[in-house]
Amino acid sequence: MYTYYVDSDKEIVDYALNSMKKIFPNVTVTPENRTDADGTVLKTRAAVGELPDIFECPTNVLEGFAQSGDIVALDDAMKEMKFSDMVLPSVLENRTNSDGKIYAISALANEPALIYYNKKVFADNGLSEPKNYDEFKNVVKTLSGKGVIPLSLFGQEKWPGLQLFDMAVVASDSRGMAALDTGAAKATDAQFSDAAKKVSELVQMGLIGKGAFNTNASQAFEQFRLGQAAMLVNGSWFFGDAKEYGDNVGYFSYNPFADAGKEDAIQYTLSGGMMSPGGYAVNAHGKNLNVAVMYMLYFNIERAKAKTILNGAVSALKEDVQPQTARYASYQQFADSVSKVKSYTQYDWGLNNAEIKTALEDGVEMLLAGSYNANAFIKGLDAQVSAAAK
Amino acid sequence: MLFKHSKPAMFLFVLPLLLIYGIIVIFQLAQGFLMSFAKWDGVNAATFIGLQNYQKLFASPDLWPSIRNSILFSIFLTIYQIGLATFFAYILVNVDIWMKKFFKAAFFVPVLLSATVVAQLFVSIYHGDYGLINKLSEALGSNWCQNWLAEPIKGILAIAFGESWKGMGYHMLIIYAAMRNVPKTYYEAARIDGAGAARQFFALTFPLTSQAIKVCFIMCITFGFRAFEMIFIMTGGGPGNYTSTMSIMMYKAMFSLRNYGLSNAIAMMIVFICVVIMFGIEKATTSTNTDM
Repeated sequence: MYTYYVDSDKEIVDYALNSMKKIFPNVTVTPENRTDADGTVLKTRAAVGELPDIFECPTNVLEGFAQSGDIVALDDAMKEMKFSDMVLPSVLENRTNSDGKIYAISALANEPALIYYNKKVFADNGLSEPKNYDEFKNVVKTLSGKGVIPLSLFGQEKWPGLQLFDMAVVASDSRGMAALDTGAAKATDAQFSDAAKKVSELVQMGLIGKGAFNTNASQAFEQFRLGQAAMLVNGSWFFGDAKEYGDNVGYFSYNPFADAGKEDAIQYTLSGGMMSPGGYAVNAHGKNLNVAVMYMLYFNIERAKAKTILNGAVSALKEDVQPQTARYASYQQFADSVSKVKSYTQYDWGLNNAEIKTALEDGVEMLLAGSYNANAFIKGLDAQVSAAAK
Repeated sequence: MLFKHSKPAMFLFVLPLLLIYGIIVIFQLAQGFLMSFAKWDGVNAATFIGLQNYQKLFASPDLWPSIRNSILFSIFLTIYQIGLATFFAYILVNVDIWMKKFFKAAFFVPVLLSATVVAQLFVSIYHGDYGLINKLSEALGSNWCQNWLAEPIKGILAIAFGESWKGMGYHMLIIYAAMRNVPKTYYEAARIDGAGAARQFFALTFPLTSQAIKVCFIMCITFGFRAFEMIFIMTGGGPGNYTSTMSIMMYKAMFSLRNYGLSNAIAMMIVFICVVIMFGIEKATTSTNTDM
């Protein structure tokens, strides 16, 4: 089994594999460390016929593997084990491939992108959680004026900046940047220019540090933890990573890009969605295919349970699963709010059109660097999206 | 003379090397060339699409900034590395300084360091928020804090400085070895004729080590179009395309755009540019070759 996406995943996967021994006592599984995030290694292994029996399959290689017949369609097996009776409907949303079949699955809950804030830094500067864009601007202006980096962005990776932009788009259009990916919106539509204007304005006010594009995730977390930066953009999985920060971590329960008066209307339309792109898939050329497929499906359920029990992650299972350690206040507040969420968008890695994704990444980077104003950003994005459509 | 009357024997002796070179270099180049006319996702069969990849390449907004950055990178690298390497090599050969062996080793140590280590070192120096330069500037009471890696020309030159520092020792050793081979009697004769240090350098040292310097020159100039690790680790070619080079473009085409055909088209362009540069330098320097 090709797994262990990150170090923190090991404990969860091992817990799940241990639980699986009771369900499949005669099956031996050898976990193998995943060595790439974008499926390049998997493609190479597929070319030489050495795909693992069960593997974490990123979204961007899913279509290719399905077309080449390297992975098994899961629909029949899912029906047989009544998978849909075990999970919330959100688990099965946006899972089907272009041929209408499901080839990879993950039973984890959607994990939105959030803005976390350091409660002590906010308190020391007389600030409270902003509920709309005007309040957010005030927060950024105050922090910047006091020499605190308002938002710690780990800009060495492109997705946090892109997700911040997506939050700004969601303030006007719940589909976010995913609408560009599906062709349901154009780059010149109002929601993108509004979002670009807001982000550009905040950048001019000193939203991110000068070295944001050379800061990696660990450095950004440390800046946030030490109070050198007041806020951080990350997925909701960060609650699990931030448990050592204890009750000093809060999150914005309102979209800070919402126009005044519209905060409540869009409070539960969130940016982000599936943290695990794609999901687990089964090698169509492996041995014991039927066993591998059923094993993988049950493993997904056990893994989802393990993530809740060990990390306190919100569960997408219909079975009631509770964390072994009580969640800290803001984490519990988030967990309690999940049932109210009306919609999610996508993370950067969930966008299917590689050219649109790259155009968004580069354009947003230039916007955040202060090199593009909103007009230049929209112009560049429109040109690249139009070229991608040809 | 050994093979003058035995061409088959000569061929037999070079055949293994030719085979290895053919498989590793020529065959891969040919495959890359063919792939540059195809659309391929890395999994399914490739489809022939003619010149579309090249059309896409020339229409890309990243192309000219990448070429500009590659040229700037090459020029900076060449001036720094060849200039300083020649200077230090000359000092080590001709000037009696204390701890000569130590300095020879010290100049070469950065060459041995991993690119990742050097890149992280220079990120720590250049970082806009807590980098050494900006913090030093703050400590001295100045407001002069620069965004070293996030501006178009400044960024690529800052990275080029790091790369130059890392690789200078390698060229210094090559030029040092060449300078050591210049017979001392030439310098004695020049001194007797009344030539000073500068005249000796330009009339003797430089012409007699020009072949070695030429090799280093070609390596530096073409490296700018092939440079990848430091740029990728330090900025990833960003923000946007501010520090993008041809090799970063190639990486992006393959792993971000997932367009293997376009990636090969960019690779072919890099090969073409490097070959043109190499032949250009060779042609320009052929008439100035000095054999003694």
